[in-house]
Amino acid sequence: MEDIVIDVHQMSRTYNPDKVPVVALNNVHLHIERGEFTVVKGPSGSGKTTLLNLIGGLDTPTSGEVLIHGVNLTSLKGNKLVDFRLHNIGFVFQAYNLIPVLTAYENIEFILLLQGVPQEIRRKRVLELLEQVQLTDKADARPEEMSGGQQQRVAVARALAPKPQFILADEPTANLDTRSADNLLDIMEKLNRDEKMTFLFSTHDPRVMQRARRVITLEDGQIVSDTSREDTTHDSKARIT
Amino acid sequence: MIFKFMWRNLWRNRRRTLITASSVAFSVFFAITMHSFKNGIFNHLINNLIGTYFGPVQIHAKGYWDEQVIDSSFPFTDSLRSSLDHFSDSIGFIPRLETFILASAGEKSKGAMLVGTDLQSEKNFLSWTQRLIDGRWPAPDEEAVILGEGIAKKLKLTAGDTLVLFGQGYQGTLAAGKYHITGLVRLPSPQMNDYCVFMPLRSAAYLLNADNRITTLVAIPLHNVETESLLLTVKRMFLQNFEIMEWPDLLPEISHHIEADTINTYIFTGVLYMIIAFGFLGTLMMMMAERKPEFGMLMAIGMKKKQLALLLTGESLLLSVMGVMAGIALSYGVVTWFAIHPIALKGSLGQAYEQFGFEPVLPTEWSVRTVVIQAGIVCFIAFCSALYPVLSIFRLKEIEAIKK
Repeated sequence: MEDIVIDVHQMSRTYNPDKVPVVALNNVHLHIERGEFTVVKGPSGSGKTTLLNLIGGLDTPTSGEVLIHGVNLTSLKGNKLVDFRLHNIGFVFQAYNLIPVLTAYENIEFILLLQGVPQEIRRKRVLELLEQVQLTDKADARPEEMSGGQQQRVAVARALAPKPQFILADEPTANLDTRSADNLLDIMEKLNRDEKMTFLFSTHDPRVMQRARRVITLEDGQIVSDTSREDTTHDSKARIT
Repeated sequence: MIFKFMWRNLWRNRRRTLITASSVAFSVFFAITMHSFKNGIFNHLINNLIGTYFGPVQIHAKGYWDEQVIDSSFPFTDSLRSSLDHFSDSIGFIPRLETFILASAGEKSKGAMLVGTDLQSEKNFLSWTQRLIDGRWPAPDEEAVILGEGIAKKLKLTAGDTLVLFGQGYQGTLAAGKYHITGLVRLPSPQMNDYCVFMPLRSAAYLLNADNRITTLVAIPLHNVETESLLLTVKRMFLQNFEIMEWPDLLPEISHHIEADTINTYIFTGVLYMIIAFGFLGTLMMMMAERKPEFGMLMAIGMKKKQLALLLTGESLLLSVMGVMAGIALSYGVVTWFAIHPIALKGSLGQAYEQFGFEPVLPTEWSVRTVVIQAGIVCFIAFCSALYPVLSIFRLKEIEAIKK
């Protein structure tokens, strides 16, 4: 049976509805299953980031709804929504967005602290994650002492720390050189393969698209194609519904 | 870890943090030092006047203080003496017969305050008697006087000379007499120095035709008895026909001067703190603007607004505590130094002080209460200033903050 993690129903997002309306997403419908490695691509302004923000509960749709493992995200408000994000959604941002005054270890630990995880379990989990992203030797380094690729790997570890349902990665390789990007994608692929971690990327980086097993193309706020690598000959409009 | 986070956040912009903490330290230092000088000067003055001469509480016949004439005296009877003796373990009483009189020597005359008193009680309970600078104390029945140094100088008299006193005695009788000066005393208040003439109580009563009458009974707490407790006892003893006065009533000019000066100090420190508050707020606004994307990220990954608000309030308080501690340490050094080595005012400024009846020295007094109040005010300012980032956090939308 399919294990649907993200279920988006007829979702639209219009900015400035009362002044000069800008339709960022228009009646989008999609679902993502557990263990997918999916890319949302499209030109600038196509609505990629808006889609990720809405799925991440950082923004509210004008109409439609987002279900995460059956929980309607649009019905959650305030601290309930924050708590839901804390336990279910991992974020990787384009600009790494690590806390500059904390070390790699502390950046990862911080999110576990927010979850109220006991210190000993936190320590074990952080060390395990640092090993997974191959940064054990950088545990005590602050972001300014690490390369962009290393910082983004810490960001991935931080996103993984609370064992979320899925990870949203908004242009994660945009600021990375080829080697760092490849290294980062290798790690993400391994996590996806070994731990069935679901990844949803927004990108126009061909290096990411090459690795994706599913590519969703957005144009003018609408999904224009949704292609799976195992099924590249099939234009899976059925999944768009 | 949260404390570590707050601490490190403070040092993101080292220079700004140092400047802000320094401004807080300076204001705390300035406020504490200013209050310590005020407390030191006034407490020194009050102690000089109360501890050495006036006493904390005085008892008079009702109406005496408004019209200080000898006819407003009251009988110092044997029964009153014996009832006072009941409290000899906790309260010391000094009977005085005081009136204004004309003091003359040779061609010179001067208005004076004649204080007929029980010199042994004065010696027992008050310290002005330790200030004899020349001669000796008269015997209890001796018809002799002790002069304040100032009046002696003005009348060009010294121990061994003779003084003529002339005035009105009890019930309109004529009071006149010639007295041997046994000694000179340097009183704590320059004003008192200029007009006080002391005489044994019995001799004064004889001069003023006021046998067994006194105008004033000074009450002194003994053996760590609190002034409030003394006051209660005295009020119970002297229910009717007496006025019981504390030092602010006895020395209203000084009391008002202290009040006015205290208000001035508060206004000054208020302005100082207002400047600090704006500086503090400016720092927090800059910090808020710089870290907005980070706050957006923190909220996105699961930090509640309340937690973030507490973090920022903690940072603000930590910054203020740093400044406060530095300010306290600095002021402690300065205040302690001037407590041991008070500034002696010389020249015209010293003379001006003396004219107002103040001893021309500026001592300081370290007061834990002052420190706690000033530190509390600064922390309160920091707390109030932290309301800006706190309110901003509650208005902040994750997505907009991250975009910035």
